[in-house]
Amino acid sequence: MNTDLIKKTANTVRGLSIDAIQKASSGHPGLPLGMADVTTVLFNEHLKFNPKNPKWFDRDRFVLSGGHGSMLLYSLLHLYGYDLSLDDIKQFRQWHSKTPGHPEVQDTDGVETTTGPLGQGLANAVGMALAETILAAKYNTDTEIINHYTYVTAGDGDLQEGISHEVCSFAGHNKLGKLIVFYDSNHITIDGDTKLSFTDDTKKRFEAYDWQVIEIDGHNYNEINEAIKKAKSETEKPSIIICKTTIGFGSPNKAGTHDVHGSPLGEEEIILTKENLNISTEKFYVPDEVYEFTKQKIKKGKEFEEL
Amino acid sequence: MKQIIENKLPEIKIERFEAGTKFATRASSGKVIEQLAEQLPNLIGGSADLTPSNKTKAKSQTEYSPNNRWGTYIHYGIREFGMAGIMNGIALHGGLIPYGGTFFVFSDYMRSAMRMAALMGIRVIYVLTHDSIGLGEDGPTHQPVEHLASLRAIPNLTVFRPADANETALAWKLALKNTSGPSVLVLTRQGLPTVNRNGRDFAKIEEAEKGAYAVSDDVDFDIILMASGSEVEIAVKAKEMLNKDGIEVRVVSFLSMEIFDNQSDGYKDELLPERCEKRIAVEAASSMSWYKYVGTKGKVIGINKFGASAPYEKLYEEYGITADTVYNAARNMLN
Ligand SMILES: Cc1ncc(C[n+]2csc(CCOP(=O)(O)OP(=O)(O)O)c2C)c(N)n1
Repeated sequence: MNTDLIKKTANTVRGLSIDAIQKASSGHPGLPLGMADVTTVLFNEHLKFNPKNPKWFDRDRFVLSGGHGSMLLYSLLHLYGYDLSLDDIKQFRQWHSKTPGHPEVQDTDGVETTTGPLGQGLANAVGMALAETILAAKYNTDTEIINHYTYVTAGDGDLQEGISHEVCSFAGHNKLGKLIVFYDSNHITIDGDTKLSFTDDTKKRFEAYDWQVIEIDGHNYNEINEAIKKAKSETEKPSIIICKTTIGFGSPNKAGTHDVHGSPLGEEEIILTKENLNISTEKFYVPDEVYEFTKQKIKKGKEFEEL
Repeated sequence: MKQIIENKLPEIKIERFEAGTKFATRASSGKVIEQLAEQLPNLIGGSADLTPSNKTKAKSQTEYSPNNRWGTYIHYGIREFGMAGIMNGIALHGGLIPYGGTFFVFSDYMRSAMRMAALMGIRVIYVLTHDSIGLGEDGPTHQPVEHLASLRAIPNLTVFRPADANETALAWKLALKNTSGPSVLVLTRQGLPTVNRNGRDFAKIEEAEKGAYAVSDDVDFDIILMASGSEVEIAVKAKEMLNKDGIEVRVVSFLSMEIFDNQSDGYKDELLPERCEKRIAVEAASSMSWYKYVGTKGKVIGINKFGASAPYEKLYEEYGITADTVYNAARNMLN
């Protein structure tokens, strides 16, 4: 893994996300800034997809359960070769754009489900992982035609919702081993710190569901990569990777606070954030080396299909 | 496999139900599922722990488990919202057609996921039984009242409330064919007669494909009675009473308001002609859904309060969902 370029890519995701949110004068920068590292490692090192054939049946599924973090997904889809241009990103949250406020499955290639109502993306992911096991059992008779993972990012909100208890219990019972959840554990929701309303021991909770639980620093590329490998190799149990993250990572004045959850950073703070991350302050900037880097993954798309 | 990925539905064959039999629509649905499970290997059934009540499991379906991954019947457990969210995921994944059951009253638990299915335009089928005070003794906690109106208000959700076994079979077919949105089958616990569609008394089942149709009709009708599901039988009885007085009547069965609303203006005017302003709707549920059909001169006989615990025949009587009530309302209207 080229951590240097992973970092540049993740920071590009951050830059695009905060710029688009600023331009739209609305949106949620906290989640994209906080989860850019985890999801960039996932997309670059693990996720099996062909952006030129986004509906390829045996692709891995990726669900952003906290749909408010839509700019994270759009930035990744753009960088990883989906039919989503920089102009589309500049149209974030505008009438008839491919980049609506929350991800909508019928609007954008690469969006696997419409999310926004917290907890339901996680439920959808459980359904996808379940479907995979049924189809694999049915059709992998002579050759293996169905074999893919379902990845999902879920935040404090998703895990507080009652439905997450229902479906994670279901997934544990049914040993959906190819379901991998990234828990964006940033201890911040809208009202403030999770101390206000959510002090469960999430590790114990998921152990009780008979899941594999892995705890990592969600900003450490090697830990992220190793955790995903470990999660993939455990096929008897679903895995949850508890990622300790900082909401609004990179923003010098707002990171780690609920102010960064759901409003644009502001022009000044954007500049400070970009300087802090050591990236260009130009708006919607993607360095050539980042495009070159993601291109290597994009090229693999066809190979995946032929495997 | 290719067919399944491409979402192609094979021709489905469901046997006609014989006239004169009597089935709860949940039971006729169960018989339909038996046949569908044989013909559609990608149909994935399930229930939130009400399998025997919802009659959702076909004998040929085996139970899904970690040791039986090819099982096509899912025990979702008592997790209605979870079930609905998981079914959305199954449908989105592609290759499989999910349906799942619970009591109609617990559609409230699933509602947000049903709404998402409608928003996403995906094929998920809900089998919701025990659909009114007609479930009887379990009482008001289990008796839906506002649920029909509430689900009919969700855009792109098709709600079916079949009146007999053959309408139930048709509802299943239409739900399976609808690849651009979810469908709800609202089914009874109590038995309903299978009407004889071979003679001139009742319309052919194909008529029901238009969502609403004249199930029983007189040429020079002076009044239109409308109903859905278990109340169609009541409307038909009221018609018989009115016929005895020499009054000609059209009875319209609303299998699905959404499908009817999508018909041509021509068909709508033909079924509910402007000249006939005397219209009565009867449904054992909140009256909200019906005003757009009965018009300003019409009347809705519904239930706008909670139910109660008692045998269902008693409840129908106490709540005035009877042929007598409809008959009297019609006589008043015609005077
Ligand atoms: C069911 C539901 N309830 C409420 C909301 C409104 N809402 C959007 S984001 C959010 C807080 C989510 O907190 P968290 O998952 O920790 O996200 P983060 O603050 O890390 O971005 C809330 C309450 C929603 N989207 N869905």
